[in-house]
Amino acid sequence: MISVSQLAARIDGALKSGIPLPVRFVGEVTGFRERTHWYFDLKDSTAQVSCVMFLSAARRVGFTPANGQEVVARGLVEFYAKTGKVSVILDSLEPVGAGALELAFRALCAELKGLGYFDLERKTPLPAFPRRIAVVTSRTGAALQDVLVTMRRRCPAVGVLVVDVRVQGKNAAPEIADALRHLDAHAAELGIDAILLTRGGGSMEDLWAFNERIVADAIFACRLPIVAAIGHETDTTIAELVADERCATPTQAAVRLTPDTAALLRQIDSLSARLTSAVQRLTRYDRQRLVGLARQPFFLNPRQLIARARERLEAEEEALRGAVGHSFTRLQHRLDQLAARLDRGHPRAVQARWSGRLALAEQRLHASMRARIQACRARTQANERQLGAVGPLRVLERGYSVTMTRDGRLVRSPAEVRMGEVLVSRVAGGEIRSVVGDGASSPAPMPPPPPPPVPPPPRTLPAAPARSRKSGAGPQTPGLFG
Amino acid sequence: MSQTSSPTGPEANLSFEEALSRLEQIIERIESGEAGLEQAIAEYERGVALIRRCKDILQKAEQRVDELTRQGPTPPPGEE
Repeated sequence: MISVSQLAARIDGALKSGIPLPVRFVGEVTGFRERTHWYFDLKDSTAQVSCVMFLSAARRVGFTPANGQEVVARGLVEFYAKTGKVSVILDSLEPVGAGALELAFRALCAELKGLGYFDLERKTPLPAFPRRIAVVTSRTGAALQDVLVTMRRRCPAVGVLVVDVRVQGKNAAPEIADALRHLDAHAAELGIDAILLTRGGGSMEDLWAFNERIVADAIFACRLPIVAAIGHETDTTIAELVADERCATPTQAAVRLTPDTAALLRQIDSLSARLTSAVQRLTRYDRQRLVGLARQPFFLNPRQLIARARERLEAEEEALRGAVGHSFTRLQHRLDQLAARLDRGHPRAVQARWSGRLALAEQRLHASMRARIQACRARTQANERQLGAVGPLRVLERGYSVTMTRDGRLVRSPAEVRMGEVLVSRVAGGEIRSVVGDGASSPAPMPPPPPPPVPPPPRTLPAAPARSRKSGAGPQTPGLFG
Repeated sequence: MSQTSSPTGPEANLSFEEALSRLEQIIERIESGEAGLEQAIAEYERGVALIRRCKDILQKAEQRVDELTRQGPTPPPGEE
């Protein structure tokens, strides 16, 4: 007899030895539950086994199993004693036919890559402030709700245009491509600035529409920026590679495309602050000057300053008046002088002056001439007297006589005369004529002697009458002999 | 950003992006000092109007969700 636990241990042991290695098997998913780890059954028409996939392994699965989905699972069979349940602990899970799809995916990737569909340079930048975003997705899907909620939260000012499309099945790809082409063609009239292409998680087959060439072409040709968020974080579809940006989830795509209102409002506030401070800075200099001026003594005590200024003004006025008066007088004086000079310069005045001067000069001339004449006369008279004093006449009056020949030659010696020559002797009382003899005989009667030559009279002025020598003239006769 | 009506005159039809861009230009002009004082104050007032417009767009907007109908390239109801 053994216990339940012992039985359980035996069952466990039997399983472990019977199926020691991981087993690969195919089945249909049913009863899928996700509670951190995955719990589902895989069944076929007649049997069913319980599966567990822990998070660590589940994460590596490229899709979330859906009920009804055919999958290929791999794992270790275990008997959990506590519950008495046999479960397969899966380490990998694939959709059936994933291999073929995988190949097709890789082939198309390579082809499009070669054509430059994935090139970074051709990706269009997203708008910073989109006015309206077109969301291409299933209107019934959870992805749409995620997007709308996120966009409303972040920036309700951004408008949304929902474009409902099938997102799986064989008609999905053409519909998606069609929607994208339509939006591209009517972007302006629809007011669309960007496209959000999204769908929720699924298997590779579910997402296959987004790996189709027709969708890739439509995305490639679209001039609007496209953000694609297809499936889960781990899924990467060709649509996402061709799109301008890829996001892991619809929510993240919505965040990526919309600006954050709160951040924008902060940005506006900061701009507002900059605006204000910019203007304030501009006025600061002027305000400082104004404040500086307001502190000036003038503003603090204007009356005093005005009084002082007035005093100075009056002092200056005084000085000015004085200076003006003084120079005015001087100017007046000069003016008078000039006027006088002008008057004097007047032709008639000049004439009168010259006439006057002339007359004066005439007078002076006459006067001086008269004086000269007087003086000469006086001198002459003086000379006369002097001459008379020493003149021979005085000598004659003393009894001397002067003997001359008839031609006026003085006789000083008897040798100078000849016998019978007539001599004239001048004595004080006149002249005596005589003839040279020996004193014995009487000479022949002589013709009257010619008058002696008249000596030139002393220089006299025309006004004075000319004197002539008369024979036997009296003592008034001027001349050499008085 | 959807065009919500705003009381400001010439700024009433600017999109958010345009308004924001003009606001930045105004600030740069004033900061650079190339505007005289009077002009700066006039620009300041324009700037204030633009700020009001941007805030209006952000704060007063309600999310508008339209659906593209399958009847062809007709815009959804309510679009110009």
